[in-house]
Amino acid sequence: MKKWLSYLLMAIMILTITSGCSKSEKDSGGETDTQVSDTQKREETQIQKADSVENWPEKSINIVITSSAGGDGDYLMRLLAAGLEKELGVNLVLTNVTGGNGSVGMDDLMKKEPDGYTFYVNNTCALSANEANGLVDYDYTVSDPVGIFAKHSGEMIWVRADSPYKTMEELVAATKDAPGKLTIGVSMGGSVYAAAMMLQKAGAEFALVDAADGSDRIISLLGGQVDCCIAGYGIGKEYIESGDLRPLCTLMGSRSEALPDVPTAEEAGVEGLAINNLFLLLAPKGTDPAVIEKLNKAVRKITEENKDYGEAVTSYSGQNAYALDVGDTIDILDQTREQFMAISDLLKK
Amino acid sequence: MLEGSVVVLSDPVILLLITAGVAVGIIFGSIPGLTATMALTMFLPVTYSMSPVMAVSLLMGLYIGGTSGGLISAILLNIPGTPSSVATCFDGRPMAERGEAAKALGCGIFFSFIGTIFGLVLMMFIAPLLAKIAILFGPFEYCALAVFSLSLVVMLTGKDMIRGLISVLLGVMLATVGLAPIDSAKRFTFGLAQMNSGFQLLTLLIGLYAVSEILNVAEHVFREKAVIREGTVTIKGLGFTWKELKGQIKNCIYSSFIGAAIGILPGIGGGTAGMLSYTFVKNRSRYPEKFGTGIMDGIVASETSNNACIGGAMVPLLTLGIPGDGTTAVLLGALMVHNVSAGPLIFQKNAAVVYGIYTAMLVASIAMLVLEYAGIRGFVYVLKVPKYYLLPVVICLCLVGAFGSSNRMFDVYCTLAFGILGYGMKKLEFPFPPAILGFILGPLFESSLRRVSQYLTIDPMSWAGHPAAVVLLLVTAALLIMNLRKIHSA
Repeated sequence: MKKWLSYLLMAIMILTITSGCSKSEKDSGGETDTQVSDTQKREETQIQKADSVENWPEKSINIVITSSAGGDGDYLMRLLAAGLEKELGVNLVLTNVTGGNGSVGMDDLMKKEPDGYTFYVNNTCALSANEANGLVDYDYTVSDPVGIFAKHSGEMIWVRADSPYKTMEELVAATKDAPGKLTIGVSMGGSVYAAAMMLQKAGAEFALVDAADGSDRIISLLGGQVDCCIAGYGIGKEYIESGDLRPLCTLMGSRSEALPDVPTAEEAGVEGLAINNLFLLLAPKGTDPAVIEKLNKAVRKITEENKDYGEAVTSYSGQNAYALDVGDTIDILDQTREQFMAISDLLKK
Repeated sequence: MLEGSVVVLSDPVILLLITAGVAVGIIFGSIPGLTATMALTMFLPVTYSMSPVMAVSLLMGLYIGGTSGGLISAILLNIPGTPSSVATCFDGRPMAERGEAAKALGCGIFFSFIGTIFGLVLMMFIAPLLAKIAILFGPFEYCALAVFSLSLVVMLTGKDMIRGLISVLLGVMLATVGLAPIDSAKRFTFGLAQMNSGFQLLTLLIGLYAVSEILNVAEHVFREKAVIREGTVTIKGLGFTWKELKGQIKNCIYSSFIGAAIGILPGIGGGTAGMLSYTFVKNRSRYPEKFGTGIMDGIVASETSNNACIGGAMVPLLTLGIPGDGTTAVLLGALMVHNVSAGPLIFQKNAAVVYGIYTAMLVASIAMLVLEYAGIRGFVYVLKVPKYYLLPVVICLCLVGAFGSSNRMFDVYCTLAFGILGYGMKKLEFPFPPAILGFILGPLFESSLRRVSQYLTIDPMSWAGHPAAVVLLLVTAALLIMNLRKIHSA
């Protein structure tokens, strides 16, 4: 009995101590935070006064990639980062903050001080799809777009090489003959799901099955768990060469430079299906426009002039190096948002 | 084809890099709170400017050192340095308490080495075949495997199955916090953005094991006088006799197979592998009652298996481009940066790098064996440090690690909260390992169950096409019934 009493007392004491500690820690933490941001702001204004955007960047730049290591966005950013390090003369520290189709990274962005040294990698489709399917209640305007820096290798519709369906038309016709029997591997919620929805809207009758990330979807297709799947060219290209898989169409607006024989979805008779996915850099809201402009110029310079970079991009994604200025980037973001919001009801189901 | 191997073996810089990688990896692995994943993430940028073979050599050194280093703190402090060495605590700690710390370490190190080599050999010779098996594992199989693994861990708790079950469920419940798999619905986040990504495995692990331990020891600060414990510092040969080694051969073979098999399935990991082979070896042993009292068999099972997992995990990574966990994800990133695309053609296109990886793994496991054996004398001194000096240092390192995994204070608070939870569990005699495994496997079970339900909606009979899953579930049921009967008759 005494023993128990002492445990109880112990627990209460520990709780008081820890709660006391955590409180004071929080308080002091909060103070230092505001102190830091105050000094940062002061520093920033000083910098602006001295018009020393000229000197940006003076220290290493953090790039937060909102998708996981090994994905297209991650790899293309890492390629670009190598060029940027030379161009800007500072280190780029790349980290992956993943989850919720990039929304976890966006939450991080919204909390960040716009100090001009942290940028986020996202893609136009994820940004719009998350809003359209109700996962988040904001659009790209919670950030300051820096610029589109690469094309996605292009989502494609894949079947196994031994599949009886040689063209997209045959595949869609087969789903109409046996509605809800042919499975298509997608991942719920994101742009791939949106693509599947556009496919259904155009008259196909697939049974949608969640098969996780791009590389997992390809594996599900190889393993025979699904009849076809939507996955990026970059992930599947090795299997074209090895003779295991066949792409039926690309979902990009134009044919891939690497596979000129594979038609776009629209050319293959699927009306209104185009997922023009582009990777872009975002800055926390309130970042100095001059810094954004400078970074954007550096990106475009690499895209236009760095031949090694261009080759590496093409060999990976089958797309040519591509970058847009800030204004064009915002136009594309608006168009993509409109396209996704139009099927918002379907996505929310 | 052997070009990569020659490069690794003939370049003293690469050999030095591997050894340095292993040394750093061991430090990261042995300090609770720092993990192999962190070590790799930290060193990844350094590798950008290296040649591909050089880069993978350094990273493999870190990976192997980091996975093996966890056994040191598991045995000496009863705090697993990495999730992989959770099962090493079972018998490692009682041995250390009996004054056999050096023997326990020697045994763990030697069988870590054996496990790594086994995984490596398997990967070298039948990687493409193994990849085919991994491909055949779909949602049905993963779902059944998760049920099977969790049931085994519950059974491991023996007569206290209820407590084990509660502990597993606690782990599973904690894992549901954050964005749901598949539809990304927010669950139990209470509107806090930090909760969206859920709790980190690391915070749970060090909270339960390390923080609760310090609370526990704090109880006795004024009561216990002699806290200093003598460890045997001398170690002869490998730390165990030839006869003891021979007794472990079968055990070691089974554990290697289990470890490698779990390794080739992405997303399950060394912690589960160690636990499964511990359970397996215990159940088929002639003296299961001795497990947990400090016998070599337990350490052999856990350490062989979690290291064999490395070779296994490299198979889907290289041949399919699927990383099973954070550590292999960093490796995949490193390969991509060097324009080595993982996939079915990696052997044709980048044979030099693949052979470089094989050779680096071999060199790294030898370096691990030598460095850790050389270090045993030093490691054992930890036992001579009074706990009231040692534990505060450990706790600081743990919290630094918790903070460092994603640079947020939130994880530190979580660790402390899990520490209090762990203290409560300790007092009420709930075991920790089921909670850890529940946390790891819960999300795998949930996402695959939900995928299975999608398949069943399309075709209610589609389960019939997955005999492996059905067999696993039947075996689980049979084991469960046998176990219940044993408990009732006893």
